[in-house]
Amino acid sequence: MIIIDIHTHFYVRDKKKIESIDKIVQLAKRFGIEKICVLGDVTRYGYDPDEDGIRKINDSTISMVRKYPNVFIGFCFLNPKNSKKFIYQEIERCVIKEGFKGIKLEVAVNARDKRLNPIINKAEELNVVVLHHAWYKTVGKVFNESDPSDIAVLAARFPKVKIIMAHLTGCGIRGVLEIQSFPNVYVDTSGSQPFSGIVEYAVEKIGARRLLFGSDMPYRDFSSQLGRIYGAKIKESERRLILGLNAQYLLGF
Amino acid sequence: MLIDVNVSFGYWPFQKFQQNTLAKLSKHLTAEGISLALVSLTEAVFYPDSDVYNKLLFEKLKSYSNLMPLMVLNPSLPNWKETLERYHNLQKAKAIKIFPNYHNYSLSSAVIDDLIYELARRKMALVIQMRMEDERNQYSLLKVADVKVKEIIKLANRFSEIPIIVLCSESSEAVSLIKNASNIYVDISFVEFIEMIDDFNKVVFGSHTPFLYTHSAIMKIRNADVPEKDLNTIMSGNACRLFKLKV
Repeated sequence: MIIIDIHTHFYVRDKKKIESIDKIVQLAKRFGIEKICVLGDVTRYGYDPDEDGIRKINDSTISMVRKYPNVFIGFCFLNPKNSKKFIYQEIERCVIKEGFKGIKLEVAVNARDKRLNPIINKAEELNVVVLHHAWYKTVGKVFNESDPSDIAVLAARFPKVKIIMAHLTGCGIRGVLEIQSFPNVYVDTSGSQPFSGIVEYAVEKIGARRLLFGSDMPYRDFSSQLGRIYGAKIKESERRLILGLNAQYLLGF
Repeated sequence: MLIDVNVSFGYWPFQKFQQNTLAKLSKHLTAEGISLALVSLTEAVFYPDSDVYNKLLFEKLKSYSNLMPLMVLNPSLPNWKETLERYHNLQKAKAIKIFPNYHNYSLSSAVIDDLIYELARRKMALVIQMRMEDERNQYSLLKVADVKVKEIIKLANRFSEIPIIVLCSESSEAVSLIKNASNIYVDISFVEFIEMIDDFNKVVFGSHTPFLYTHSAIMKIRNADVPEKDLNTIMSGNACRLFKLKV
């Protein structure tokens, strides 16, 4: 059974033991995780990173992918507020030259903002997925942070682009309903504690084919996050799709 | 042997639980390898007189050898002393659980001083439920703030003779709680990377079932990079000692 973690924030320069690159690979192996998508440590330089910050975060991902090309899959982290020239350069550097499989967007700009257009158009042209942060927050919402209704608007504007909405638990039941009618939206299972019932609910409403396992490592651990997939009352065939087959198909390998 | 000190049963308006009967809960916990669970009723969180539901729980759990009641006490109610006395005599687990945030009192209020005195007199432990949900995801018209780490530490340092078991603390909170008071214990339900905790004598197994997938807590234990001796301490040793369980 293939297990692919679609949502991690490893950063090689971190000094924490858990984040040393070799240890990450060993740890993942212990859990049977074959491939890890690295989205970058997206808040390392604040919620609105400048070009230098973005470059450093992507540099880190590049170094991980180069060291373990069979384990790490790169996602190019971008801030839509940066200059169009820089954004295109980063996409060229990460996606075209380094073979990254996706683009990661966080909270600098809301998903409804037209400044996303050049990025999403490029994602469509290069046929790479866009993984966008989302959460329905009662407290602690960051200015411009997207919620699932924002993702739905983005998905409607770009129906040919495959969008992964992050954080199933954070998006919750309402979040699943918001994106239900957009077949180009997938949801990753990362985020928060492993609250029960939401995986089963999402499988029922959007189908297992639109769900992807994500851990949010190193903020969460593989045990707690895999536990929600193994603990969910779903069919084994559905579990296999969520754990890795869907990601394998989406990322095209 | 695995003892789970953090299990609930009942109705919660914002989640649909698979284990919605005691028979299902008992069977589920057994299937996950949990031999004994300390169970509290979710209705005791919201119903004005927790005792009504505690009594119900006590009667219902008589039929299940693997489920043991852990009564919820609201010390802001006028009759709490009589209720505590009754629980002390009835319950095998020598502790009570409090919900300061849901029951709307502070850990620095006078009533807590009285409660601690009464608990110490009976050699009972205090269980504090720090949170039930992720505060960020709460229903917008029912925002219940988490119990603050600082308040718990302050309380624990004022009453160092009584063991305080804190449920659902996040990793950094658990580390801080243990570091700053010698009588605080934490469960693993919200803790990521158990191995980062320095003193395993201060850690108990708790899954926060059915709010969380039980299997996550099981996987944390199975995959923890912790010596076997310490694992046994977390899995049952500390719980037996703290709750005075004879198993």
